[in-house]
Amino acid sequence: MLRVPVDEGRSRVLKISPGSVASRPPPCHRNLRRTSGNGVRRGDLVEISPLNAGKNGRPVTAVGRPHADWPGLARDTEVGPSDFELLNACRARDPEAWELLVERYERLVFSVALRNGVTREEAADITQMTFIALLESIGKLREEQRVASWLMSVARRLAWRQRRRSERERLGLEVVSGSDDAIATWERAAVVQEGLQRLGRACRDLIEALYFDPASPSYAAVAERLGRPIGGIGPMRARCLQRLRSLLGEDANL
Amino acid sequence: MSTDPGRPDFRTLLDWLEGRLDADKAERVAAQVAEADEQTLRTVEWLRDFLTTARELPLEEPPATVRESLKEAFARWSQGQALMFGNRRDVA
Repeated sequence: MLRVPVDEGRSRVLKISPGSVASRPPPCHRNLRRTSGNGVRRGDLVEISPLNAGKNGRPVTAVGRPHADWPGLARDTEVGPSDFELLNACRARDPEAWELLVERYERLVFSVALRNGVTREEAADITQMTFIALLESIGKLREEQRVASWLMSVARRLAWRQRRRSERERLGLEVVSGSDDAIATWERAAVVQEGLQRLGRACRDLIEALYFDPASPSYAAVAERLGRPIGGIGPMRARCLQRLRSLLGEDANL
Repeated sequence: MSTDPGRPDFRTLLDWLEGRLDADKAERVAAQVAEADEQTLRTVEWLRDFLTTARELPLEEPPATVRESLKEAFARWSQGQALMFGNRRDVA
């Protein structure tokens, strides 16, 4: 693996020339994911993994590329491999791709199970079963199939099956029913989650912390967690959401 | 800030929907939205949908054992694949 220095969270775009060492892709956010925000500092080394390589050696990241509309987002645009690229790497038995896929969606699957009225323990089992089902179907998934939607459908089905098996309703638990409204909610959630994965690490971390953390942390807590000035949180969250909307299609409804 | 004084920008709309504006500003934005063009209304609708979606599905952290188990499951699956297909790793 190549190792390159990190310059204040900005990574440079490497020129790709076929056959050269530099044809290795730029660092993937995966390499920063456990340390970004408060862990990686100027001069730190991060590892480059072949996982970043797309088809024909094309890098799949946009690290350091300034965004035309929001120049300040340059370091927020580190995007990792697409879900389909991860699936392909998993098919090739790359354990790191699998770990990244699990890391990407385990909270979504667990949360979907919980929202369908099972206990945390049952939701943990359902999370495992859902990912194992993904593994068993990995050869059948096509590029156009959305991984988040697929996982959410399986998790919901397993959760409802679990509830039927236990033959008891748990009073006091808010359960999303199978109504059209609920299905629309799940579909919107899948679209948002998939969009977040394409958003880039910095933006994704911020949006998840502000909007998807059940603890609803304050701006101050989020600023501290992400190592950012509190005054930048509000403007940045707007830029990130604007970017998310743009990624999902400016005119598309959620 | 918005370049068009009659059209609140994305951030202002988000601040408004989240209740982060003072009363006077919020009132001004509400009046602007009431008379807004289609583009602004689409932005408001998108932001409302996003905020609703986020509120309805907060992401809970599963126990750490889940990730470990899945790591092991992948290793077992991988071994099984190796036995079936040999050591070719380009099965994708």
